[in-house]
Amino acid sequence: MESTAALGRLPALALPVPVRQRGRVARVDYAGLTDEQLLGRVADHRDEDAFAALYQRYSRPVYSLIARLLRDRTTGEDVMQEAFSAVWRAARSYRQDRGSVVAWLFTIARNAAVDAARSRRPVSFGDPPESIDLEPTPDVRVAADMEAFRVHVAVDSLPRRERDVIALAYFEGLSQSEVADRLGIPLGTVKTRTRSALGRLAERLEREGVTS
Amino acid sequence: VTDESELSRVEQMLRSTPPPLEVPEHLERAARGAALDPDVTRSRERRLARRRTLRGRLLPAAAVLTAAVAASLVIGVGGRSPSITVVQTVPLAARAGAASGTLQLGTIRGRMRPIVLRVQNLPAAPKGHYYEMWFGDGRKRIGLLPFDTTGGRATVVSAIPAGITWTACWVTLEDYHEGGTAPPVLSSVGAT
Repeated sequence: MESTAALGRLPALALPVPVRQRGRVARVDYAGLTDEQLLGRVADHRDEDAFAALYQRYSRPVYSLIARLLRDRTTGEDVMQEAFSAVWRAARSYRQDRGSVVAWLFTIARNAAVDAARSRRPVSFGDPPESIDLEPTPDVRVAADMEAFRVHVAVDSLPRRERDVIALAYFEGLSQSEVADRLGIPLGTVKTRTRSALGRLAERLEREGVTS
Repeated sequence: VTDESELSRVEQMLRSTPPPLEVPEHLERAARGAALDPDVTRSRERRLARRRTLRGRLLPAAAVLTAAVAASLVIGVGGRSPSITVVQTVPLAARAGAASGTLQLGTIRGRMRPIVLRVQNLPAAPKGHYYEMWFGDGRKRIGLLPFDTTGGRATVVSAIPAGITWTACWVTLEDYHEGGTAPPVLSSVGAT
């Protein structure tokens, strides 16, 4: 008989469901599941823990995207809720052959933000110009948003200690010496973690088709 | 094994990516509740609908214009290397402090004119605020370019309507919710 521990080592493409054994439900290792597996569990089993795991993985990139597009964190919070509601409602509509979960989530979040932007009050202006280009957002902007989203996702997928080094060095602009001081670790460790993190990011981004 | 050039590309990508924002802690419960509880969803949708209705009544033309501006103008914020044909550069100077910048204007394309705004030594906007670039001619003014800085710097690649006339441009620190007419922190040389 298969042991409970063995359930943590599931095949990559399997969609494990809690298995009842003598009245106990075997625990699913959500952290070890792929995005597709988590979304599959949400779609097929309405699995709230899988939904929570997706939220943990993607809340920061999604929130960053929405807040950046709307430039308003208060509205952004409502839109964030709307976006994850859409994930819950529309999980069944995801098709792996049409793209990654990352791309699917990006589209949902961006659409939610654009819908909200259409109803926003103006920032402020005097007499508006008579003609404004009403064409859809330029592709170049969507591509830049997508790239930032994927980079945020990739950084959030790093082990915590590597993620901290990357965030301080590249998002806060600290030198490696300053990162070492801030984290209280040797400079050599900062360099090692940075290099390791960059390698992981390169692999992840190449898988996502960002750097290849 | 990842080669050095690939690591350099990743480094460049990181440097040109705006920093992610921390998600407010209360949002997880709210987002989860919104997804799982249909009553919460309906309540939120009603709230959003009320907001839309109110704003739609008060500012119909303005809302449409702003959506168009928001959708079509801001192309990117970060350190990316912009590629526009520069036909004019407007220096920006601070009335106080060390901040400075330039506004590069490109060749008009259709009804839009590409621009690149670069600022230095401008501290990140405080919580609840953002910077905005304005254009005006002494009678009219229009705020078109919201942005923020990272490490005191920002490069904003965008476009403005080619049809607007302006004799000065300036940057203000704006409140997220209030908007308004804050005094400039940067302005084009000679602007009042």
